[in-house]
Amino acid sequence: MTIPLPITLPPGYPVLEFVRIGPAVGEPFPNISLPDQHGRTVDLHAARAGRPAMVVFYRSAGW
Amino acid sequence: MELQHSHGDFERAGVAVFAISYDSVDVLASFTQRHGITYPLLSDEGSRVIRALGLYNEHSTEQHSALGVELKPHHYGVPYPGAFLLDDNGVIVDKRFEQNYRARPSPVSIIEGHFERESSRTAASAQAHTEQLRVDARLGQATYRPNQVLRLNIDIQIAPGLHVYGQPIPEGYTPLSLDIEPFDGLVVGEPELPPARPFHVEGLDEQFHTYEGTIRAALPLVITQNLGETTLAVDVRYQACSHTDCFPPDELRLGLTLQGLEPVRD
Repeated sequence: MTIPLPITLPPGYPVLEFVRIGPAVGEPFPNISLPDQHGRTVDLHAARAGRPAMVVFYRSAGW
Repeated sequence: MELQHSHGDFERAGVAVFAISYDSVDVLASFTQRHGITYPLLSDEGSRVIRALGLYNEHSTEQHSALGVELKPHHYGVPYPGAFLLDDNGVIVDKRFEQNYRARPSPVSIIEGHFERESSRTAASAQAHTEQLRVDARLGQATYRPNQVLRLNIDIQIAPGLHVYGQPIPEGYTPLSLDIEPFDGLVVGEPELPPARPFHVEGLDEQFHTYEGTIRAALPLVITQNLGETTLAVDVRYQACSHTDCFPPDELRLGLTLQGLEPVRD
């Protein structure tokens, strides 16, 4: 579900339909494989090991 | 870093945590060491996965100019900030994304929102009641950081034998509403209220909807600057009725005080 903000966004600010962005609720999360902070390759679903998971996308750890 | 504070809650709930950004392994290693991160920070250098998943923030330009920020190279490649919640089988059961590219999804609000579980962190709370209603408002944290999405949980107990109007309702009646008194820097999202039950009133053609018993509601909100100690003035408006009569519309006010913290920066 999305948390829409009220209409008081700054003028010219695009309002986005997050329901349409990215994989949808009800779909399997795609298989992704990326290095972690220790340089080890992590396969997300394997690392999840049958547990539920929270996958967070954030701007940056550097700024 | 906020995610690390709540990691214990995720572990107790048996939920694995992964965080993804376009940072290099070196940047992530440095961040991990500085903040004692115990869950995987995945490096999507070049934003390939971010792009493949359709999460590449294509609106950097408009968002930055709308906020009066000069666009720099590192602004490109960022994803829309948000999170996916996956079940045991890796299927997406919930997803939360923010309009504001600066917004930081609050792990406390995600865990409370999906698992309906209370955070173990120190909460800010307040209660108020009338003869018809008792309201408990709670934020899973007593602090806030600028642009962090917070979730104000509001539990409403309606006195036995009474019901309260909900939406949709004909004009002239007061449906249950939750608001926070506005102040500069406060952005409040749409209230999350359970659906009200259709209710037919003898002799009236119009369709009413009502609530009875205990209902759990929530208000997402964001404070966009560090204003130090801030009080959220919550306003609950309602109209209660018994089987025979209606009380005049009434309201309950509660105050929750939060301490502002600086955004986490390296």
